Amino acid sequence: MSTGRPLLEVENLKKHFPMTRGMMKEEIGRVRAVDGIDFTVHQGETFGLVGESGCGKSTAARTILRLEDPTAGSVYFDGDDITEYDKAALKRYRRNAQMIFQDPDSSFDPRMSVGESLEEPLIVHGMGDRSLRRHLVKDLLERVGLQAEDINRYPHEFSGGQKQRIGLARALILNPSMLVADEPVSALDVSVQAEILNLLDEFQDAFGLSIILISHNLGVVRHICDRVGVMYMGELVEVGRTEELFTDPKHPYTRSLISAIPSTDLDDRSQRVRLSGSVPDPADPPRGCRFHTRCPEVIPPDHYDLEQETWRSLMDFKQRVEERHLTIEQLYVMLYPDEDEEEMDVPESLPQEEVTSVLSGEYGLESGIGDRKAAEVFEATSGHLAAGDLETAIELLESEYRTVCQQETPPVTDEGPDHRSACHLRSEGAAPLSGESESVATD
Amino acid sequence: MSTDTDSKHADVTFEDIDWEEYDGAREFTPLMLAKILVLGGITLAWVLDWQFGSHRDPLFTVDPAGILEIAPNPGNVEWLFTLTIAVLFFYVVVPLYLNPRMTRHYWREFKKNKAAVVSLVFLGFIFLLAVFGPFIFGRPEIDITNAYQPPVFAGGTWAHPFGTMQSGEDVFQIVIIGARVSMMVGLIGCLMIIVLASAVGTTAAYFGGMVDEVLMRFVDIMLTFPTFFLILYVVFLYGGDLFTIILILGLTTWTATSRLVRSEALQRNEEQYIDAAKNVGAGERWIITRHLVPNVSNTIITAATLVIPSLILYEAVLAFLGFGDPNVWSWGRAISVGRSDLQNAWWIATMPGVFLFLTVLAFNFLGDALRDALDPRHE
Amino acid sequence: MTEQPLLSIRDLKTHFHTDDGVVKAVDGVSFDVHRGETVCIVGESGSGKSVTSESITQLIPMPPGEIVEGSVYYDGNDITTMTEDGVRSLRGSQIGHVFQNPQGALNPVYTVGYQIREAILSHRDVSKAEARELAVELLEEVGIPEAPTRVDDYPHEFSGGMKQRVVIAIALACDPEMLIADEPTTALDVTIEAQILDLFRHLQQELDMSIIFITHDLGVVAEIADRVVVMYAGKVMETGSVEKIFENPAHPYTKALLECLPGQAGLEPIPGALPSVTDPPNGCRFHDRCPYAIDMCRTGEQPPLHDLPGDHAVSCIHYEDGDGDLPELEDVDRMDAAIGGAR
Repeated sequence: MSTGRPLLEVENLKKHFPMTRGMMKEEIGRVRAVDGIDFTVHQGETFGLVGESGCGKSTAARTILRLEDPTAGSVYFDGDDITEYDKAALKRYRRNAQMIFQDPDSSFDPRMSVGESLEEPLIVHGMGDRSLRRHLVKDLLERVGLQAEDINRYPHEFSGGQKQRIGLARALILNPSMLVADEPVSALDVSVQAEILNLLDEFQDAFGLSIILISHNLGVVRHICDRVGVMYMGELVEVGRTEELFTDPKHPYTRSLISAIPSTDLDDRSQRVRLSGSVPDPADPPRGCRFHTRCPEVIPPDHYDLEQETWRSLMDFKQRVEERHLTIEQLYVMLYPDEDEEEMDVPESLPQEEVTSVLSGEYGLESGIGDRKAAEVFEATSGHLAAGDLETAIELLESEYRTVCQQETPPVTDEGPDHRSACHLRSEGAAPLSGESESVATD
Repeated sequence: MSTDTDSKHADVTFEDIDWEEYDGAREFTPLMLAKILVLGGITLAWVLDWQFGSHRDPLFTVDPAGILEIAPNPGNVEWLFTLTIAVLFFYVVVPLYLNPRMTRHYWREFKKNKAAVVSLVFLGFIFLLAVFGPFIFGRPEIDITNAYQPPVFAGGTWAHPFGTMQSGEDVFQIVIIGARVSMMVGLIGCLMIIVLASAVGTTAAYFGGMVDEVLMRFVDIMLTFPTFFLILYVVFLYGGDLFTIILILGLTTWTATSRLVRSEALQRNEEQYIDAAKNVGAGERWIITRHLVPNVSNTIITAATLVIPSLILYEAVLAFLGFGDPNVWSWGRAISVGRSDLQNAWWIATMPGVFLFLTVLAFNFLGDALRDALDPRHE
Repeated sequence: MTEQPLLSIRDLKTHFHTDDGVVKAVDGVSFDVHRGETVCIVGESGSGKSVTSESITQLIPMPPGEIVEGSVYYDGNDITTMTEDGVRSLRGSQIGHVFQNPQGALNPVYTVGYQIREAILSHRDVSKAEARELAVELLEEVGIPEAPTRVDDYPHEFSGGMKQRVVIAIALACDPEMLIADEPTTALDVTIEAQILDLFRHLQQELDMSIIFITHDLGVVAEIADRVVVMYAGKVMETGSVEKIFENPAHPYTKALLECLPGQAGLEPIPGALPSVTDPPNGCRFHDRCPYAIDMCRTGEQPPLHDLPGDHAVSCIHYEDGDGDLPELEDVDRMDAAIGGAR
């Protein structure tokens, strides 16, 4: 279906939100909501953007629609760069690119009848003829499965599913060629979700619409998308055709996401991959691969012979130290949790052996670290921590527990036609640890 | 109605529209036309009267049946009051009439509060008295021979149902004129607050950033401004006519309401329908006037209604202290005049006092009931 | 299971008196929860699943809510006849609650440790220091890393998933025998949801608790339930072991729910909408959306729960004799004709 130039090309799109402080609006950092994403959407194609909340998928969509101005990058729609549009051109663009919103309750002005809400786009674009407007609205209401008489009713008189149908009608009434649907069914009951998804499908076929579907529900995405992009912390970690991506995911994050879908198959119970931790602060994203802080397949150095799980724990430990936790005060509390906070008298240094054992317990390393060298580093680090020397501990971990995942940004690897991923495991040079990753996946 | 529109565009559907044909045409409904004509007409007449009219002679004199002489010679206040009533008609009465379902809903909520219903009836009566009373019952005039007549229920006559003052003015007529003054102060002031507070509040909330910062800092300064001394100063400089006092009251009391409006509008601004409107290409003015203002109108109306009693009291206090308009019989001035005669002619201060008290109380009840009825959380 | 169930709900009816009439949110619901098992109540929004759970410990606002009929036996005692104090002490010490939105359940101005301590101190006679120790233990129990140092953090310093863990810790503070969790993972991402479900499973094994888990997500049900109660418009449509419900669903509604899950092959929506709960239809509540409905489904009352083989019962006329099966779809009209003819 995709011949010729794509309808939408997104190139290195970035959207940062500056965090400011004080009267002078001094910038103290920025939230990198979208941090350089590339993808294309062809005429008549459905492209899915998935990821956890806060990964930047909604911001990406809003930026593509110019509801937010991008920080950098370009978005070509039908060959034109929409980031350079002026007001008049932007208004014309709005006729071609429309949006369906997530929350059917808040996406309609409660003081406007359905007719007024649906006529709004027509009035804004200069259609003065009221009877023609009413006619178009009634016709469209019937086509999305409601009744022409509904035109005079108010949003609160409709159920969530019906409101989402009206939302679809509002998005269609300007006859756009692209629809952005931001979690269109996540606020609906399952029994209604299917209706809306089927309706979306129907209209796509009828009008050759391109759709960008944003969802955290991989079931929904798998059902209606032709291609899928997986986002993590503002970056696309994998893009590919839906079936290929679901049956043969290349990026560990994609694998974790797919495996986290609750399945109705009882045999699958507790077969889900567990991601440890939660999404890091997007204002201070991790170095290298942004997923390395949670990745179950983070790459160990060549000279260690470690279980993958142990290496994960050691990385968690390293991360914690790098965040300047595990200070001597905190270690003291961990060693003697019964002591009263106010009367605490923290000594200069703590007994090293006890610290090591507490830390082994905390990071699930009681059964021992497989590799002798790695174990020595762990003990040495605990020693520095016990002496309150956080800096030396950080240096030691930095030089000894090195991983390419933390050192370098993973390059984009072509995985075949229309399929790419950004993971060190997939790039040349790094030996994929397929055997071990299997054992982790089934946990 | 729907059948003939349908047949006209029988086979046109949304995908047939060629949008290049449509650009910028705005359609005028009869209602919009009527609004522009009436409001524009009043404003124009005001400007003409102000520029060319005489202060002494009435605009025209009509005496249809010989009993009711109509000879209006409106001053600035009268023009502004006429404009206010016209605005209230188009933006309160007409919408209520056009949305009978909404009206019924609000009425159902409103009538739960019995005190407020009584207040509404009372205020309606006072309003009618204020608008038409002076033309029917005439204005108070000095008549020394008739001084200190007691009211009818204390042995007086029906010629002066509420008795007379020390200079023989009819207290009933003074009460009517006072009602007119109070209504002018309350309604004009309230309208000014509504307009200023919603314009500033919604604009600050919608644009945010620098605009918000500048507008809200200005509001902060206004809030700390001692209005009372400003009025004293202006009265001292220019003499305190009612028009000036109302303007000052309106221009200095909108700030607290605008803060309320802004915080409400900030919440509304986060709703997805604002994004939806942006996304179809609506401009800033459209979004503010069509979406933000209507959706914060409950807050505005409630807050402004609750300001009315304090405006009326403010005017009464000024008049009582002698800073009011010396040409206008306001309730405050009547109370002030009657206060020295409380021993021998209690009705002079008491009658206007009772009306002032009841009016302020009624507006407070009304405001409370409106807040309950309009509260979107109850919908 | 022959032992006495920990919780036994019999013919519970919770109604709400509103301006528009009486909302029959829960209209005759019965089910049991045994010790150490997880029962999932599943249904669409408006099915009455949350009201059912809130009726157990009378968390519903009364008025306008009212438990008009039925009994809730907890450990043999009828909660509906208890005094308010009795219910309150039960709520804190025997039955814990976890709500959907962890944001709203935590007070932002107190540390999480303080909030857990409060929960402990209000029901147990321990010293402050002991309470603090218990709080740390609880945080460790629910899988918060470095619990001793995190206990003095404020709620905003925790991520959404971690907050939900804290809420669970508070619910566990009084060592309850039963946990009622109302959509505890709906507000969370799938990856975090998986962690929280693990936690529930782990807690149950460790503490031998009974869990009532309310959800609309059949995927979650499959993941953690031992038994399932399928609700629709205030009535129980089907109940049974999780295996029966998923592998051998009997009620047309259950079948339809399973077929409309995105990601499954068919994606069949359920036509129509939930019936009115103020003026429920005659007969089976599901009849006007049910492809198998015959004339008899449209009259009388909701059919009783017919027992099926194994741990399984269904409220559908087609199973009247205890073993039947749904008719073929094309036979549905013929059945009407046959019954009509017989009359």
